[in-house]
Amino acid sequence: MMLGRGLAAIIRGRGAEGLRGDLEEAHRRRVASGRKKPGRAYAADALRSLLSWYSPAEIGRRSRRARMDGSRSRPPAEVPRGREWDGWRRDLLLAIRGLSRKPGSAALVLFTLSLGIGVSVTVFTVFNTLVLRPLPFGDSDALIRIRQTHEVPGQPPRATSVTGQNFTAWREGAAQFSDMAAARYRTLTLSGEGSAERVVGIGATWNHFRVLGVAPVLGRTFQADEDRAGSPAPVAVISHSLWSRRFGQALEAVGSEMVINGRPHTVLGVLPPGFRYPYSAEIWVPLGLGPESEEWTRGNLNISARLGPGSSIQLAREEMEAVAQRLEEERPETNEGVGVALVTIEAEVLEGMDAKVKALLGAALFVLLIACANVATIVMARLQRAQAEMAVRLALGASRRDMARPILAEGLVLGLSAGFIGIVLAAWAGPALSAMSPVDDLGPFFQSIRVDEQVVAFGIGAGLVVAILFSLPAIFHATDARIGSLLRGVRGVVGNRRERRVLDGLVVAEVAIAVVLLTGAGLMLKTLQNLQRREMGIEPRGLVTFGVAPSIGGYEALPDRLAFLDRVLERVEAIPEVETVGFTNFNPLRDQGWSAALWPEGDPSFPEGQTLPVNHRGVSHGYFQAAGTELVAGRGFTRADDTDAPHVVVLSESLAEGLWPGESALGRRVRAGLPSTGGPVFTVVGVAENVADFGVLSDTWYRPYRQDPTEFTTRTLEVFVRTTDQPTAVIERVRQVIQEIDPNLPVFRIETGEEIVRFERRGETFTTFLLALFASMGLLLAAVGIYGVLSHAVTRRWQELSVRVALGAKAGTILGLVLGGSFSVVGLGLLLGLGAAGVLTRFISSFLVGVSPLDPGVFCAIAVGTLSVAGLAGGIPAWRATRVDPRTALQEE
Amino acid sequence: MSKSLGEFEQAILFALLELAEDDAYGVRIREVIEDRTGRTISSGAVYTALDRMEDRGLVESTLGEPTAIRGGRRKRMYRLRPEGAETLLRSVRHFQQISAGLLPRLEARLGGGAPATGTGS
Repeated sequence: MMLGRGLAAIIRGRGAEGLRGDLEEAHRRRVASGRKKPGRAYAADALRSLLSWYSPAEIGRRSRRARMDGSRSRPPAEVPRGREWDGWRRDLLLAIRGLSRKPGSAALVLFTLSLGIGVSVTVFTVFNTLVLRPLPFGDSDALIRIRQTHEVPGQPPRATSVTGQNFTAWREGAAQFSDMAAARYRTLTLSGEGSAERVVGIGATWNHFRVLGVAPVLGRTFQADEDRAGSPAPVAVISHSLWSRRFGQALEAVGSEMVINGRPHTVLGVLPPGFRYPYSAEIWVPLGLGPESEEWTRGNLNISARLGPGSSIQLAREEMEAVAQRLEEERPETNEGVGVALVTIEAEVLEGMDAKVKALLGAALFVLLIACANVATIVMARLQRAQAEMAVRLALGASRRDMARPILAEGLVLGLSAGFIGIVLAAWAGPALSAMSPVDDLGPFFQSIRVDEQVVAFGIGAGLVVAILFSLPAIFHATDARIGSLLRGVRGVVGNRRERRVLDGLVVAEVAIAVVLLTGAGLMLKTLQNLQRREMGIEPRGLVTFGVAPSIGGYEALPDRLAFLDRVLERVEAIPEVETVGFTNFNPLRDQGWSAALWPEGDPSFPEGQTLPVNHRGVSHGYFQAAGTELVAGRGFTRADDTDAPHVVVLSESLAEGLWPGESALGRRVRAGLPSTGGPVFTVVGVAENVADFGVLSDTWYRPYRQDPTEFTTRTLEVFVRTTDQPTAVIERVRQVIQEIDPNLPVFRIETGEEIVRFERRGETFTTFLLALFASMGLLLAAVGIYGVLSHAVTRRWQELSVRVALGAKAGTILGLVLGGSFSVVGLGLLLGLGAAGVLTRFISSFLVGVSPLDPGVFCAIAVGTLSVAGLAGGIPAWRATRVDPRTALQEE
Repeated sequence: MSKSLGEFEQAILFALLELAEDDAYGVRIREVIEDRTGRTISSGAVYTALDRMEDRGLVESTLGEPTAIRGGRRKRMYRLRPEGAETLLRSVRHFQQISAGLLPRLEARLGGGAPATGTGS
């Protein structure tokens, strides 16, 4: 009975009271007459009544009557609240009914909108994961990264590496922090069971995890006594991914042994999934920082600190600046001009990343806007077909509100359904995206891109906004309609000017937005091409690279190491398919490197006491040839460039040009180190073409490894092999050769140049892929819009066109007539789009390599492409127009 | 102007004829129809049909007093308008004209049995 009454209560509207009374009375009579299960009968009766009350035919009838009554009796402005709501419900139901009657056009609108909303929700999901969700640190607001800066008068301060000495002094001097930890990047070799593997490791002070507020999921992290100065305990904490990879997530991993850099270490604990801070590390070992350690004076420490209770980043900054100043006075020899910079870890982690995601979000919103414009044209075209009905409504005294409500109701039905489909799309695309996306490009933590309530709210919000956006043009159009002109009929010769302006405006907007998207995608595509081609200064095709670490292989003494390296060069070069071989200390294809500071000697125009930060590479003879880096002037290195010979360098073109603009650099001298202490002198013997390093062209200087063999041969060396044959075929031969030289020496990461580029550029590839995807969607939607508007126009001009054909117009004339108008609209959109792109592309200029944000090639290609697509989209209806049969069309008159 | 009446609408109009004027409202009309046709119909169907016919000017309605048995709601009492009577008559005559003399043959076609619907108690 409760159910019956509940159902009956839903029956509302004029005259519903009588029906509800009937239902109640029939029920009581059934009860009085002792019928079985009266509650069920009530419910059944109520349900059936409800269905007939709200059947489409009944709703239509009642709404027609309500409008007649309304226009007859009282002004609609006095419609009471309840009736307003009734009107809404009626119009919503009518909208659903109307849409289900025209499934084709409803499907088109839904497809368009869902695409737009789906794209936006998906990108918002990524944005939400990356930017809005808190970092996986405990209380990350209080986490600060402290960097060291070096300031020379007249130059902007630049970041320098933090030494152990300074870190210790900072930790002792700062009271605003509750704790401060240091971490250092280390490449570690895992051997023992399974294949040898190089992983990113971290040497960290024991409190590293405590400062970051991260607890292990298994076991424990370091204790203070394991981080003894100079002799850290052989213990390690591992990442969740390493635990899965090497231990298959076995619980016994904790307490077991792992051979790290040839020394057994005990695994203490496993960190939570996704935690790989800093540097996407997989193993953490105690740093053992002390006055004896290498880090004490040579640094490169990553400092994180936690603000104490009641402190703030501002207070901490002031205090740290005071500490730095004191250190500068106490130790001028190392700390002259040394300052500090404090940033929250959050800001650091998101640096650069949110810019990329915001660019993508912008692109996605553009797609959504195009979709809206598109749907607006569809809705308007439909409204124009329904003009007779609107005219009648107006004549019967319908108010603006009465005219607008059904349009908005239809918009809401479509927008919200599209929002729902969009959320479903995003729920499906999210995991696909996180599988495709480069993990460390999105930051080490964010491996899970998922839909949460914020994403759902965004989807629904987008649906609502879209509903209103695309209903607006139609509402303005409808509520501004004049009865007279509408009743006179819809047979205007070229349609009324106002509605044509609205439609044309929508097409202009669509084309313009699509052009902006295309330009962004085009520039990114060109960047990707540049990164994969010669413009980077290294020829990845035909290149094989691999890493060897002589010091791990037991070649501790310098002469042994040099002899070993000579043998490697010699034997690999002897392989028939190999052209040349060379090595360097860091692989520029992998965006790794060291930096150095240098200044030109005896150059009065160069400010006294200043230095230039440069990328620092040690290379072997043959390296330039093997890497495919061309020498623009002078010579490369030879075996004779060793410790006995004068110190020589090769500079990158950009560096040489920066130091001596317009002059030859050959024979000039530079110094390196600290200006206050002077430094060794180097003579420039060659200039090499620029190499895209860290994704941008940077100033680089090269030194022959034999002139500083200790520094250049202790770490892993990257061997570059230039082949004449298929590089993949050479890989096995190279491995064999190394095996023959020393069976115990692991060869790291033997890969072709193209493989590396593909891997290293996966971030750009991913961004470009998404941008290109969005841009093509935008263009497709715009094409659909052009097609829709033009075919609508052709339909409206049918009479006019038939008269022209009857009077002898040729097909070409008709084609020109129809297409001419559309081309001026598309052309205007194109111009506006290119102009807007010229302004907007600066937001992605930081991602561009070797291509100007205003690249004329890209802009031209897009202009041509857009015009061709527009021609195609407009061509179909135009072609239809040429087939007008004057007889049938004129008969209609 | 007038469209022809459906079977259900005819049944309702006949029910209005049968019922006393102060008794002709949804529940009673429904009872009469259910008695005569042996079919179960919903209150809503009766109600919307009456409403529709009121729009067409075939019936007219007045509101009665609220009663307890109806949960305090008022009855809507219906009355056949002259236009309704005329339409009903024409509709029935029309049917009689087109079927004149043919019903026995129709029954013969079905083997002498009665039509499956339309039989009362």
